[in-house]
Amino acid sequence: MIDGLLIGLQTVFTLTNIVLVFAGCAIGTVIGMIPGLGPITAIALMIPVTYGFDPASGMILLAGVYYGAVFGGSTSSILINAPGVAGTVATAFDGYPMARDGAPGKALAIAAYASFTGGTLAAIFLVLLAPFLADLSLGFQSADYFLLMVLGLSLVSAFSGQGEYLRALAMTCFGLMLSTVGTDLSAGVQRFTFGRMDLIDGISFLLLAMGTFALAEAIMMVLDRSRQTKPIELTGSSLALSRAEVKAMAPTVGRSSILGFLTGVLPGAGATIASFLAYGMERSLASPADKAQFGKGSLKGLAAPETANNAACTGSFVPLLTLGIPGSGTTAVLLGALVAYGIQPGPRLFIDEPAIFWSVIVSMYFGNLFLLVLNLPLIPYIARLLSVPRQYLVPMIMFFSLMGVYLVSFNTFDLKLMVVVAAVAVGLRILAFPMAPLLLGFILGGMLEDNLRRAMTLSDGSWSFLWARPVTLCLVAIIGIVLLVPLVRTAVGWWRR
Amino acid sequence: MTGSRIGGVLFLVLCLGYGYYAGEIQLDFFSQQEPFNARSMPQMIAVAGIVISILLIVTPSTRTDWAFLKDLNWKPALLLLALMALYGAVFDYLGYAIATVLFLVAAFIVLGERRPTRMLLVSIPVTFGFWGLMYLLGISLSPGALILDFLAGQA
Repeated sequence: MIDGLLIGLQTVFTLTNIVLVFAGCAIGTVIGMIPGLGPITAIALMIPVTYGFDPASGMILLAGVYYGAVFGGSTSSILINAPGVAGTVATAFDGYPMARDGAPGKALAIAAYASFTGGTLAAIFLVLLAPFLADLSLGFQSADYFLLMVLGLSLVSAFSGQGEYLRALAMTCFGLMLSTVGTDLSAGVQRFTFGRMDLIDGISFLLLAMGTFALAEAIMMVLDRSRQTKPIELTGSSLALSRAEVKAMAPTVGRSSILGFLTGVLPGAGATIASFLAYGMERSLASPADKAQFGKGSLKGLAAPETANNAACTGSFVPLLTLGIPGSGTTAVLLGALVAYGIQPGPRLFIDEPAIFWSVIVSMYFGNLFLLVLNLPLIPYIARLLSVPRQYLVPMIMFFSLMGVYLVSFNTFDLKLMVVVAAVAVGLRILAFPMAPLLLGFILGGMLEDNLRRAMTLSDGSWSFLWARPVTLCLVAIIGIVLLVPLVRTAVGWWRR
Repeated sequence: MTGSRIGGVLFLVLCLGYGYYAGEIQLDFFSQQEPFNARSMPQMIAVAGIVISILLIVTPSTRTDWAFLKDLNWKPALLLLALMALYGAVFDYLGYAIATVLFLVAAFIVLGERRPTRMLLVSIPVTFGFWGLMYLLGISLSPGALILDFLAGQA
């Protein structure tokens, strides 16, 4: 482990990579600050840029973008009460009231310090846990991988919001369908290409990510006039915290880091659920006097979700780096980037590509450090972006999204397809269908099929691999519970009505 | 009708179409004998999708108040979608520079900007700044058939 950390430090501590971590954090903050544009969009927009670097540097940049985007999302939650991403919704509960009551600088500082501590503690947990899990997963077979992926997809739906379960399942299925478009590499057969040469290689994941997130969000910004709000002025607001405030928040930050990390490790859970869980936990643990402050600018109410969402971001790297299975939409896009670099994440990554494995982990820590030391003082200037008129911002987002996809394929068919994807995504958003499960289904679709094919071939076409070993039997049972519990709950609610 | 039901009906139609085309995937004799072939996964997904869409249709869901649709800013949103599609359609012909400046200016107009100087002061530097960045990275953006034809005519 020490050797690994040294490899990671050696990789990150080059001038290029330090600049990339910093640039990633700054760009991520800027993009994440725009309401609606979150880490998925930020990473998707930056992927074409990373093709010019070696894979380790590319991943270092993207990890910086990820943390920067989460931090940027918190800034828009605090300053305009418009969370950049779902993971920072809970931040707005107390962050916005604090900013409105004359302490926007303090609210941003708490968000930055809490994020830094949460991210740092989680990076330590990751260093301890990831190699152990990677070692363990070396013994996994195709059937185990297939079931782990099904479990991940099921959990994404099960953890979706109230009443969203079936819609999330439908979107996962839709993502799986889109993943089958193109040539089936095992048989060399074309599927769902309808004779179009442009579809022979399938749909690019970047196109889907940009279409469903960046472009669809830009259109939603235009559609929904209520999203246009003015930011709270930051000038002259102090970023300093008193010793008593730090002391009051310390236990909250410690608890939320652990909770956030463990939630992030679970496939399908992630930053949003972690932040709400941490907020709820702190509220229930608070004294009656403290509890009355929640929702009105409580220090703990702001620190808890901010710590947890950053810790969860780090935690979500555990299944990605050790199993090669993304647990969230954002890590799904990162997986897509790794695959595009020609690297297959999974237990072998730890052995075959230690520089990438460890440099991503080390860059997470440095990303958090950069956000605290460099980005926080720059926030008053970066926050001016929130005042850029929509009539300029929206066309820019569209232009960079379209160019991001065009520069990968140099095929204008992709631009047209992306517009169709964006239009469908806008329609689905209006019908309240979530987008992250679609992306996750799409990214996992190919791997799911490969592993199922291998498992079926090894078992001579029989489904017996599902119960042949205790591991697979346990996974099948967990998947059954995860899929059936929300359905039973819905049915019981219906019956009672 | 609720959003879930509308989505469920649309998804059912999609899954039925997908399932139909899954059955149309061409397989040779040997592939047909394999326990898992190119049709297997799509057919499984189609069945799962049909089950999920039926559940979406039959399970009760919160009634959706569609009044919000009237408040949405439809016209500029649809125009922007059309504009992006048009950008994709004319990109190869007009080339990166002309198509991008026109796209950005048109998008600014759709979103309510009426000051030509400001529109050009934003769109031209962005277009050529991006072109310069790509040039430095060794990426060449299409000059377009229009300019190439014009230059060929001059020669």
